[in-house]
Amino acid sequence: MKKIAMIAALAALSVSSLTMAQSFEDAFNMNRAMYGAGATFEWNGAQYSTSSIEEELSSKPANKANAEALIAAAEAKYKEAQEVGFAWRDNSKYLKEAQEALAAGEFQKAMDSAARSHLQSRRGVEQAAYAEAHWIDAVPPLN
Amino acid sequence: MNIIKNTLLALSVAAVSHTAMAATTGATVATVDPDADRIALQDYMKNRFPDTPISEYVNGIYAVDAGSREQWEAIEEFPPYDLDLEAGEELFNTPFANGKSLADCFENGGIGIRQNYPMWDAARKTVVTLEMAINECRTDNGEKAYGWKKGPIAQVSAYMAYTSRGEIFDIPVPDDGAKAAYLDGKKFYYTKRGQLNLSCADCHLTGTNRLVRADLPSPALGQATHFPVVRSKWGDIGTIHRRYEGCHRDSRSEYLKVQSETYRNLEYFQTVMSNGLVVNGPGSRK
Repeated sequence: MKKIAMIAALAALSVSSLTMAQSFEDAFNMNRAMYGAGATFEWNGAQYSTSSIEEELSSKPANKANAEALIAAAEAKYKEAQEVGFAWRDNSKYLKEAQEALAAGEFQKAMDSAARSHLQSRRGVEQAAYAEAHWIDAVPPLN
Repeated sequence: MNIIKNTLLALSVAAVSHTAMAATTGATVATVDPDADRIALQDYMKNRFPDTPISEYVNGIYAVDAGSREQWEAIEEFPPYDLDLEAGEELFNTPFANGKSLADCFENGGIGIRQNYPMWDAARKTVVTLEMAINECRTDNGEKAYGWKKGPIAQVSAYMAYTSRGEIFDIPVPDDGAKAAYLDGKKFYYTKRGQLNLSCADCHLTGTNRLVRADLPSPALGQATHFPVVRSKWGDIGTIHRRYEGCHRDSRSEYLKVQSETYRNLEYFQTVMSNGLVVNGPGSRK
């Protein structure tokens, strides 16, 4: 009888795990893995792109205005990452590369470098939020 | 009836096991318990390395890896920090232009006091490291501060550590301000960061004695006891904050300035974790 009870409990746990709604992040990652960038997928009744924000931004026409806008966005995101203490090592390097390329009139290169910096900063900000919730999980517990 | 009872019991156990996965203590100033943290860390190491006595952890990776220890013992026959000790002693004893010296700024003339640092300064509400105290002593007496990472600062610190060998760390965490600083250091130690998503603990707790490329990371316990160190990679002597900067950078994070508040809090946490262990600096490391 105890065995039946244990099986029932495990089954209940499994069902509850399976019925949890898929998060946007999971849906994005799954579709991205299956179809790559530039595809669309449906989540909660709406259509979304499998491209990242940075891929969307850097695929705009390569011109001065778009390069300046992307660099400004990357700078703002970098500042955000710094404020939470999770800026990554190469963010500033990519931003510098973007600014130099912009000054040289190499707009696509500027946009690519700014997009790279933006991605790193965005990931750093996400990492900060995750760390805030989970850092304590790594501390050894008292036996 | 029994089936229902057993099912409820089993579901309760399952629910509790989920809850137990999340640590519930030590994440706030109200709940953080440095002694409990230290005991838990010691227990973790005892489980990982049952043959290693706790007192051995002052020797870093050489406490748990026999091959590395053999090489290290050979190096220690002619300690690579000997010349730094001589230079440190000379610098320590050289009077300032005003006639005073470093000895005037420290308890017991600066001899045998390494185990008291870093310390919580309640008036200033900040952690004071030994290197910080050395440089403040210099600037308070009209001298120029040493650079923070290597050279004279590490040599003087090495000499002061040497005069304290065998003394036991017993760093207090006396009030809520100190607890907040300790907690900040603890949080930094266990937080994943940088492009490689690595925490200090990833290498020095779970990754201890497991190859990271060709290196075996040292255990988290006892990491603060033997600094400053001569590292083979550096080719000279350096402070623990120099090491922090390198580790932080290696996780591909935008690293902090040495002696920043966060690094000082990290050193405070690490040294409290070393309470009960002896000062054995300066040391030599790979």
